[in-house]
Amino acid sequence: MRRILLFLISTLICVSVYAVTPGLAVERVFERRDLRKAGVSMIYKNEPGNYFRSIEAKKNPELIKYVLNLVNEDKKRAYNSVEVLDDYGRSHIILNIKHEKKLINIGFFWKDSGNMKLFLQTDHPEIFSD
Amino acid sequence: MSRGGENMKLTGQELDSLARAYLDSRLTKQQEMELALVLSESDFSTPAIEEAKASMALEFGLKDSDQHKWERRPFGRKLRDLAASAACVAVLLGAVYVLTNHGGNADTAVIEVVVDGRRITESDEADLIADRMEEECMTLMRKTQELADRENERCRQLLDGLK
Repeated sequence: MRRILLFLISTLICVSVYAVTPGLAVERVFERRDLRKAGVSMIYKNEPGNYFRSIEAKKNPELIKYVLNLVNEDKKRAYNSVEVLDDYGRSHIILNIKHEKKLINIGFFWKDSGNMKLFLQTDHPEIFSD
Repeated sequence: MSRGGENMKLTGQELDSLARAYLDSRLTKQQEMELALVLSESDFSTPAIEEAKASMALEFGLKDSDQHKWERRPFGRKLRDLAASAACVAVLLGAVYVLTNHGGNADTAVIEVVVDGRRITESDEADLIADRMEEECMTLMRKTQELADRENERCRQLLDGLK
């Protein structure tokens, strides 16, 4: 009986490890309760075939710095990344990350004035457990 | 001496004699081991048999043998163990289902919008804001890719011009 229980617990741990969320760094910014304040908008959308999260902030250079670090952390996991500075002085970073062969898109857009937009999107909502 | 079903032929008196022989160290090692197996499956009880069993438990560790414990378990206990195992498997399968389906929340749409620290509770308004933001972000993503492609093409043309 003890052997059976040990086997079941080990299997459960293995499944738990396999079933964990992608653990993206940018997910952390969406969990910050202190960002629910003036000048910041947060969107969470979880529907069949689409998972979308975004955060938009105005005049918040500190947040830009924080998010940029997270995006750079996730960039190491991206199989494709695009960085552009457009004619309006806006910086763009797009990351394409694969988790269990499923595509996750991350986009970060900001201006030196302190305005920014960050989003996280995938067509596979099941890979995020909320 | 014999094992399994044949040991039923041994009477209690014969077992008692063998137990005494064991206690007097008159048996060979092989005979001692066979007697240990026979006694472990026997219900006969005399002071000599009990003493021999106790001594054998120390010598051969028979009482700790899982195999013998299982063989001597009554049917009810086996059934209870099986039920416990089945329950464990059910719990495991349930956990696997929950972990791999994340509670099955993908079947329904959940939209949350917080603007300037204020949660938008009106669903139509929240839907509108969320859709607009998603569209903006997707447009920006496409634009980023287009800008990168255009710049890439421009650089290629410049390089071609240098050749």
